[in-house]
Amino acid sequence: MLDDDALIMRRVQAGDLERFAVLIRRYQRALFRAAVSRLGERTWAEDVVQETFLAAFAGRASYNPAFSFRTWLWTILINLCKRQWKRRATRPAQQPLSVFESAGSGTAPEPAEAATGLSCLLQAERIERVRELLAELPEEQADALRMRFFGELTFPEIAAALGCSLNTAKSRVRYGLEKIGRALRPEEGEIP
Amino acid sequence: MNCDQVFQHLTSLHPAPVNGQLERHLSGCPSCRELAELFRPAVEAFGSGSNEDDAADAPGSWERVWDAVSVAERTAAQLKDARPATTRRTRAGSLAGCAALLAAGVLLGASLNWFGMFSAAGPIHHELQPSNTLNLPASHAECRCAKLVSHARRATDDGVCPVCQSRAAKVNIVSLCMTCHDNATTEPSAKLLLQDLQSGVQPLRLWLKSSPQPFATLLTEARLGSLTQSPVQAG
Repeated sequence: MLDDDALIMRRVQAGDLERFAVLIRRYQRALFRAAVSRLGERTWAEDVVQETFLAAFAGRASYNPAFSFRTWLWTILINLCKRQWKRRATRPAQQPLSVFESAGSGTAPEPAEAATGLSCLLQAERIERVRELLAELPEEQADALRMRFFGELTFPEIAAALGCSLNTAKSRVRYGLEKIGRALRPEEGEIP
Repeated sequence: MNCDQVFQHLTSLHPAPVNGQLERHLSGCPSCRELAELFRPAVEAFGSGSNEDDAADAPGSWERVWDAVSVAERTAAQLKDARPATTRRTRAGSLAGCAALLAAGVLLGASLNWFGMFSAAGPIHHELQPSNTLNLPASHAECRCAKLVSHARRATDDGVCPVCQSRAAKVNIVSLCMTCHDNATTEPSAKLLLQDLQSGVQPLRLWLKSSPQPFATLLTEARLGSLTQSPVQAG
């Protein structure tokens, strides 16, 4: 049975091109968060997200609705991120922004509920720390975590996008999460 | 719940409700309990960044992407409509700009993808007779793809077949190559290449693959700039 994405893509393939905008709206935010996290720079991430959608649109005829659209989209994104990284590697480094700083208003996100300034600050620090820790992980583990938590992909989807087995996809998420968890664990005596 | 289900639950930002099953499993499984403790701060940190509504502000791009896609698609449709049924260009003057753009994509593809693909496989003779739905002379079937691609690189619009010396639109020369490549191989890119070339979309993908410049720049310059001001668009 085809999921909603696949049905939309089938309509796009049949010529109802406007429907592609639904997929852009649906996935652009998650892709952008992952791209900023991976590339560390907003404009690079914007380029890559645009390229991802354009590539998916240009290659729409090759998409097989029997397979997961978002897996395909994430695979394109990851590959384009790698290419973008290589392309920019020789350029002067820019100060990377945090995922959340660059994605929004320039400040850490407001918590859903009212919180003190201190807790906001702690949360912002923790978010920034996660970004740093992701950058320190092996690329495969970090990509798996981005797909799991930014894209909320299932493990079979992550495995397909990364071209690895299901167990490997789970292992990458597990080991990556363990490292980040250890690094974020409050020191003894520290207020969590 | 088994340990695998618990792992999936623990690594999900929005897990499905499990009605106390998780707690029951954790109370009897020290390794999962340890994992849950270890994961918690990381998962919370990932989750805390997912609440803000940055969709409107973030790339600000879906409109831009969609605008670009729409322009590309409209232009491709216009190119398609403008192509005479005989495949000869009778409006060569007005289409020259767009054809040149298409050619640029073909050339980039030829130099980076096609040529490598063909040359890696050696000079490929068309062993199968093409269906010739493109009204090309039968002698085209003898052409070598590498030569055709090389020839296409030099041509600006229509080309002259290096074997039979007859003129043909470049897209059709390429089509002929693909007819055999599709039959002789299972290259998934071949069909797409032809399909996109015929629809005018291919240059986007070729640039995407081959250009060292940011794609957005190319897109802006090539699609939103040149093409939208072309006679085809105006007409």
